[in-house]
Amino acid sequence: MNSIDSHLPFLIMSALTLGSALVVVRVRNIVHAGFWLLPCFLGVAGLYALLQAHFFVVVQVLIYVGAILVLMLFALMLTQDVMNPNKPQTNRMSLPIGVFCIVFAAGVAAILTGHQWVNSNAVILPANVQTRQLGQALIGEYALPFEIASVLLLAALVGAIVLAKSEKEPAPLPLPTLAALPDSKPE
Amino acid sequence: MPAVPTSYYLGLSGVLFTIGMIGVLIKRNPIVIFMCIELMLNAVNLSFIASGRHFGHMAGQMMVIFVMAIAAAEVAIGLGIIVAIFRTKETINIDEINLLKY
Amino acid sequence: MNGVNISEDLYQILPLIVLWGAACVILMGDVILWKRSRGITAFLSLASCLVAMWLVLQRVVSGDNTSAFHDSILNDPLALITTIALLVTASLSILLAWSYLKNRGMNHGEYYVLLILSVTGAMLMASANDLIILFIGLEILSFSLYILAGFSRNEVKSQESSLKYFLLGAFASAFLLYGIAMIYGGTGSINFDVIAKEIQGATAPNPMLMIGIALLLVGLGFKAAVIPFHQWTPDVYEGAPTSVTAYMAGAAKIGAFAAILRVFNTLMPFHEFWVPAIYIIAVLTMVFGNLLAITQTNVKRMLAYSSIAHAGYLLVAVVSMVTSNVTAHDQAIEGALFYLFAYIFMTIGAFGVLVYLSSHDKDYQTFDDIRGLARRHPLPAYLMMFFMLSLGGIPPTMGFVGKWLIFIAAIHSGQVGLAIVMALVSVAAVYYYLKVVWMMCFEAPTKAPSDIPANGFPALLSVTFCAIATVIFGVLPDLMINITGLIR
Repeated sequence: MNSIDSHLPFLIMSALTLGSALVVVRVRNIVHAGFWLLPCFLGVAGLYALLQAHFFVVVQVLIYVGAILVLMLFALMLTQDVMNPNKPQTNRMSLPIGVFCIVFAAGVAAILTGHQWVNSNAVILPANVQTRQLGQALIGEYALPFEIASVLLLAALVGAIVLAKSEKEPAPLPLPTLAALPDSKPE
Repeated sequence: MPAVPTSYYLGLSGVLFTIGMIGVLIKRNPIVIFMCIELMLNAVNLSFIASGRHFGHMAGQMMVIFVMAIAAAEVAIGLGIIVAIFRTKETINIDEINLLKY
Repeated sequence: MNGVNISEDLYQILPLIVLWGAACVILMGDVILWKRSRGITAFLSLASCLVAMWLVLQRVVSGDNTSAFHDSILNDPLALITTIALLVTASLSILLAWSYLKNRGMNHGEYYVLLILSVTGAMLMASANDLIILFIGLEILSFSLYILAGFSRNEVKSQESSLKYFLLGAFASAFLLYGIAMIYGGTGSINFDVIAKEIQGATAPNPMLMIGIALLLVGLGFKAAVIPFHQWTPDVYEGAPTSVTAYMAGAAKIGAFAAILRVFNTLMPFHEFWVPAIYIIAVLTMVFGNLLAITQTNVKRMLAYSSIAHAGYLLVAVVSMVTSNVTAHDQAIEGALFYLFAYIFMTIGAFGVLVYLSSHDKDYQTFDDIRGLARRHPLPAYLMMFFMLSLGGIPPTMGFVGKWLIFIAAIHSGQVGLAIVMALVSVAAVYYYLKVVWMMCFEAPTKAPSDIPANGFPALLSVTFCAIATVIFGVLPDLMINITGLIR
């Protein structure tokens, strides 16, 4: 009984996360699916809080809820015809895939919960110390990943520019054949 | 108060990962597929943080920072591609995008 | 190790820094300085790749073998040799793109920037000694390739291939990441050295590590395009602009195999666990890659399946790596490296011929396009014939030597069954390569012989270079083996 009590916050948060994740997968209206991601991400943030990863609680809310979810909802609004909830939203393979995945999940969960952890006496540091250490590691031991992550962001940025560039921009060397492209987009 | 064992968190992340995987495999709309991929990444992050806390060192948390950065960039790219293809084809239903077949 | 000595660390990644600097200069200069006159952009990208290659070669000669950035980068011979292969791929692809982009109306400087950035991603994968670096490198490579695949924005096909590649790629990345998370959970580290130390003496992985290895194999297998994770390959190869396909076929595969060799070398103590998995994947990949290639009617798709089959041969080398015989182990890695070089020359050459022939409004890619090619354009036809023979593994070409080395390595490490499967499917594969040759040389052209190859000198230069390399290293394999033998 005592154990259940002390596990209560964990149980609530995991129920919130898994429940809303299931709704995301099951719901027909995809805008609703987008909104159901919100409690799911917040549930994960709650789990981070239980794990005393304070910095990541904030980051989870800022990045996943603040940036990623908003971007997705934007994309949903921009591609309107798919918002019609009467169109089938799943493909024909749902059942076998579902069965396969449930077996997969059972296997993974069984193995993971049964894993024999090496006993470690790790001390959980208070939030301010932990975050300071994280920042120092980021410019110390993990300086290279940090830098190459910026290269990755540069690649993503260039990519986004390429994707967003209007096709109406005149080609620098207007070739006569360009106009004759059969599948050029009429816009 | 006994803390929740690490393996519970990992089991939870396994289940969340699988829910995301089911979504990717059965959904037709690329944006929803993409949402499910985000679910999978959240599961990954959860297990990194849980193992990181168990071992008590930085690597796990550090990994999460990079996963989040990459996930954000991935959203920008992915949604860019999806919107671009929508402008050209007026549909993004994955089953209707079928010029390329086996 | 020594975080203080940052200049030494930076020196270790100097080729990468050169390329990143070049990418930034090109990105800005293309808009501000030389106002989008593409000759300069292409020239500068090529020059930066060559400079980087020179730096790497210098390091190969000097033979220092050090790690940098707290052991997260390791410039051992394996990394250096795959890096050279990557830079060769990038240089050849830049030459291919030079006039192709102009003719197809997608001449944007960003193409070269993305190409250079993606090759740095693959280089990071090759020298990663740390799962973080491996993962970020993979993502840099993939992001750039997603965009490059959809670079032709007038064509729905190209955009669709981009979307498919992106969705499946992100899915595979999630698997890879979960694999990394499990490996971290199972060993408590993400550094290959520490992991190797941690698992020393163990014979079976703990359950968590087991899931980790399996998921990592899925993620990397996707990048390397092995069956059953290959579904994206033909579609993306067909839909992407041909110059991108050539690059992607080379760079993605080299990066993935560099990572596979490194990861499974680290996980050697658990070979009883992962060898059966790779064994099955290798057989499936070789057999079905070749079988599916036979039924294709589009050269790009056929080459896509052929590249899948070649990934299978490389996996044979990965399996042969597992042996108590040290010589056989080195032989297997050497064979894999030699084969990677052979693969890029043959594949880029074959795609390059298609690039060279493509006209303003149409990509050369169906069998109808190449029917009777020898009569219309003898030179590209004979070059193509040459690459087909090499891909099929006919002697005196590089393709034959590569297959032979892997075959021998497999025999030496006791994988006779795998070697036999490999020999049989290689013989069967000759059929569809020769079909192309037959079509080019002996069938009547279905097209009016009016179109003149529009893509000019740079593409021809690149293709010719591939052809010459295929012959020279086919006749004198020792030249290449001396380089790949550095891993000993």
